[in-house]
Amino acid sequence: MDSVRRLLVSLFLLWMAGPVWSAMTIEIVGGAANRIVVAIGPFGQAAAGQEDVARVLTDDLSMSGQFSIVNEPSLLVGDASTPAWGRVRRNNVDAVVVGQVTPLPDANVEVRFRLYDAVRARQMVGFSYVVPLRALRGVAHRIAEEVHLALLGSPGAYGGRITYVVKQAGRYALKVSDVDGHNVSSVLESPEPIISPAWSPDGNQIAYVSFEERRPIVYVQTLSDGKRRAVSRFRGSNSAPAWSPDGKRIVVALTRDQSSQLYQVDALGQGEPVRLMRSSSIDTEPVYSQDGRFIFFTSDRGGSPQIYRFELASGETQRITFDGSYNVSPALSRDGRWLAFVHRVEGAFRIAVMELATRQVQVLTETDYDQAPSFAANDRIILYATRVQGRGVLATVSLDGKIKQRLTQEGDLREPAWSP
Amino acid sequence: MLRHAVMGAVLAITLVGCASKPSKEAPIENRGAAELATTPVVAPVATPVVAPPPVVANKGVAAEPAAKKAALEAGHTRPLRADEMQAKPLDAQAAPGSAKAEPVKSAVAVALVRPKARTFLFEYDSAALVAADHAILDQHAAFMKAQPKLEILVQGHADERGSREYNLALGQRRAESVKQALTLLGIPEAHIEAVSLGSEKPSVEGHDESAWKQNRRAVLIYKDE
Repeated sequence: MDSVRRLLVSLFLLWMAGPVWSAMTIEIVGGAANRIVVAIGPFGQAAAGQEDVARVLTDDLSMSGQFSIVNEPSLLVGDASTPAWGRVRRNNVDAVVVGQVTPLPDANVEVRFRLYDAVRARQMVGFSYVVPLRALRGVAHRIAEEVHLALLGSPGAYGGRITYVVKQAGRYALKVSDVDGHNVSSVLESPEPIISPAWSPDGNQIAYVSFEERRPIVYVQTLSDGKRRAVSRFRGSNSAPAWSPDGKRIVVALTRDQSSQLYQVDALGQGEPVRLMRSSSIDTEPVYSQDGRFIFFTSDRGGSPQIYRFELASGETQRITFDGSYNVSPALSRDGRWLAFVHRVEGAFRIAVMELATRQVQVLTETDYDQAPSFAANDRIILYATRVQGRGVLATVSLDGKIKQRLTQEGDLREPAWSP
Repeated sequence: MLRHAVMGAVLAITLVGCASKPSKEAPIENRGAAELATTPVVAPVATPVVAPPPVVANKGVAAEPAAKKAALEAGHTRPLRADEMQAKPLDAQAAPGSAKAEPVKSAVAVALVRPKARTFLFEYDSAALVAADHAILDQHAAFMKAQPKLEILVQGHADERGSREYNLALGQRRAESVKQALTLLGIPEAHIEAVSLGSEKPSVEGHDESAWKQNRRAVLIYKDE
């Protein structure tokens, strides 16, 4: 059963003394040719105000574009832990998920699930979790990961977080949310622009560029307590922060010597910046490889903006992109196999990927104003920003270009980054 | 040449005419030739006894041409000498906007006017200034030199397309371009701050070349404004 489903996921609009949480809408635009049909049974009666695990699991798996979800309680009978196999097979279901949520003392909860191969009527995987009640949604994401891994043989990307900037009514906010748009919080709210957020490798801090002093300055902020420090506040522009894999250094682009050049600064803001290379061109947008050996960056030293690779040990630089006259904004997969970037073709700015081993390039999008690609934690999805009918939205595209999502919210969205 | 010939001919004919015609002045009037030359001729009056006023009037009317003729005859007797021409030298007329008349005053007047043009536009992916930009920067430099304490801020911008970070660097390049032009004109570097706002602050919202063109700019701001 394969039909393109339009899935809407909304948050409740919560009015609080503090920030207003507005709804993020995520829709699938294009999906896998052959989706695995999964029937999900109810996880017991959800208590008032409690997250509905089956609902979260359904939304997660649907959003991946790889699954077709059937919520049919009558497929499952008895204590809801034994599927009605006859009825299951008649509905062309490939797999079944059943589960139960049981409250425990001290505001804890036990969640158990079992994933069955419907054809063989055999359990594939099952787990039980004991967590505080407030972590229930996270457990649902965890279950989605297990189901995805078991059925597809590769990791999903359900439990992560994203950061992005919203511009609305002339004001800017740097936000962090779950990958599905829930649990939004503000990192910074400002009357001036915010760009280039970058997650620390441990996911506890975010570096970003703020124009609150009317010129770009790089800050690092700790998410748990909101404390921040300026790590680069030199004369001219300070921008494009990128963390080293050990989290101790940040590479930035500085124009203190007239043209934009790359420097390494201490992540705690101590000591003097170390200039990485000399050129009389624009060098910017650095990004470390996961093994820490290379820094990929954008430079127009060859006459047009292209992507280069700097080897830290030898100090040598090699040009990477050659197709066309505008290739910028490098992003690397964690396994080091893929480079995503913005590629201009006939005046349109699109997301492209290069397989680094073969240097083969594929253009993945058909929109005109794509920016800021980053890889999901499973290296199979690219998150980026684009414009649809004049409005800034976020979007994802799978590495093969087939599955696409659009993430919209009130306001103009830009500058997304997927957490490690 | 022709004009002179005609004038000569007219003069000649008049003189000839003067010579042949008997003077209308009757001997009764007792006017000599000399008097004739210098004084207007009065119309001859018929015998006093019989002249009716109308006749006098008529005669008066008729007398004008004669008076004019006599004056003409008197003036054309010979060309005037230079010393009879009441010559007076004339000063050269001041050209519009020329500072010649009071040079010192107008130079000060220019320096006190703060140049109004503050925005410089750029081609795509370029930070190059053109001749017209340099002319405006000349004016700013002159103004700043007359008030040496002035400090300025140059903000560089880029249009919305492509990478925000690359646009930030491009905006900085444009701001530096203006700063460098001014330092070459003698403005101290410490008085010019060059910053970039990249593509973050477009002056024109729009998604076509007419908007992008306006947004590829450097803006000069006097810090005391």
